[in-house]
Amino acid sequence: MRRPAAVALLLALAGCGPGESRPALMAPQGMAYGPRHAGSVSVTASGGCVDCAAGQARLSAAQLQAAAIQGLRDSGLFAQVLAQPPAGHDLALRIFRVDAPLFGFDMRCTIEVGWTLTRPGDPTPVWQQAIETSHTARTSDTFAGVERVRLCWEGAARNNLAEGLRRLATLPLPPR
Amino acid sequence: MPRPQRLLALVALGLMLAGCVNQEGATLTPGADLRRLRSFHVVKFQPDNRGIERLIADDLRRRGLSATSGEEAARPPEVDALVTYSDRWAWDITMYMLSLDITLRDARTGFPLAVGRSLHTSLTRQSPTEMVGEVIGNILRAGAVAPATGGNNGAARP
Repeated sequence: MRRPAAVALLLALAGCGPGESRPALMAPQGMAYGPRHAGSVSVTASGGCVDCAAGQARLSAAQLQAAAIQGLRDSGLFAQVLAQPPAGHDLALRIFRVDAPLFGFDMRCTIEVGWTLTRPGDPTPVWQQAIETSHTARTSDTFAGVERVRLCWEGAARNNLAEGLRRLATLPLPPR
Repeated sequence: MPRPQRLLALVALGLMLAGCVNQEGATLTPGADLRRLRSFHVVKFQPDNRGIERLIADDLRRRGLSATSGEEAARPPEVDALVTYSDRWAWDITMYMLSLDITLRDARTGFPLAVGRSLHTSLTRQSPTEMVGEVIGNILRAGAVAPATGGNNGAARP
């Protein structure tokens, strides 16, 4: 009786060996701004990991890029969103840090992403900010630790994209 | 399976789940040039009550750089870069530093110039001083290797 309970507890606590991030779950929802910026934007991303070490958040640049593109398209902020430059503006996302726990019941993850908006041919950023966001995944979300830790960093990434879109929406950008 | 073997298997599972990690590495933000940085202010991580900010400043000074530490408000006016960090600790017989993340930031904008991370679980645990030296060493090596273009890998080593 005690051994199965101990194994179940270990599985519930451990966040080691979770699956890949899901861009569809990282794209912010319900952020329909409408066309604030008349031109086009391209989105690229760097950082994160592809061959992630055990215990590392399995979040790749490609997954963050896909989520950001989906979020930008859903929001309608720019008239057109492209997966690669050139465009009227180029948005470069860089994953600086993802803190994810290895163990725990309530798992809190923090992510810091650099947002850099440039115009083609001009390396000076139009806008550049590092945005740090967090998310807590609870046992009520899912019992399995490996799934809970994935929900945890996916939520932190989703919050980061939502905050970035919020800040982008306030920028006075000339149409390009 | 006899009882002792089952117990051992369970312990092994626990170690596998909890102690399967060992990483170190650093990455440079594209375009960042760390070679121009001479003075640093290490900003105390609020939850840290072990004085890790002083260890980081000591390590930078040992490398011939100028470094202060404390609250962000106490930063010297002409500092080149801010250093932020976060440390995580775990318990296995005794407390040990599980991971250390260090970020070098532009003193004016706060935007990260380089990030470094070391994580050692119990079997390969290191002292906080060694962890600090490992992360700072990797960051500075990444800056020296690729000062202008940076890249995703820098001196990263999983």
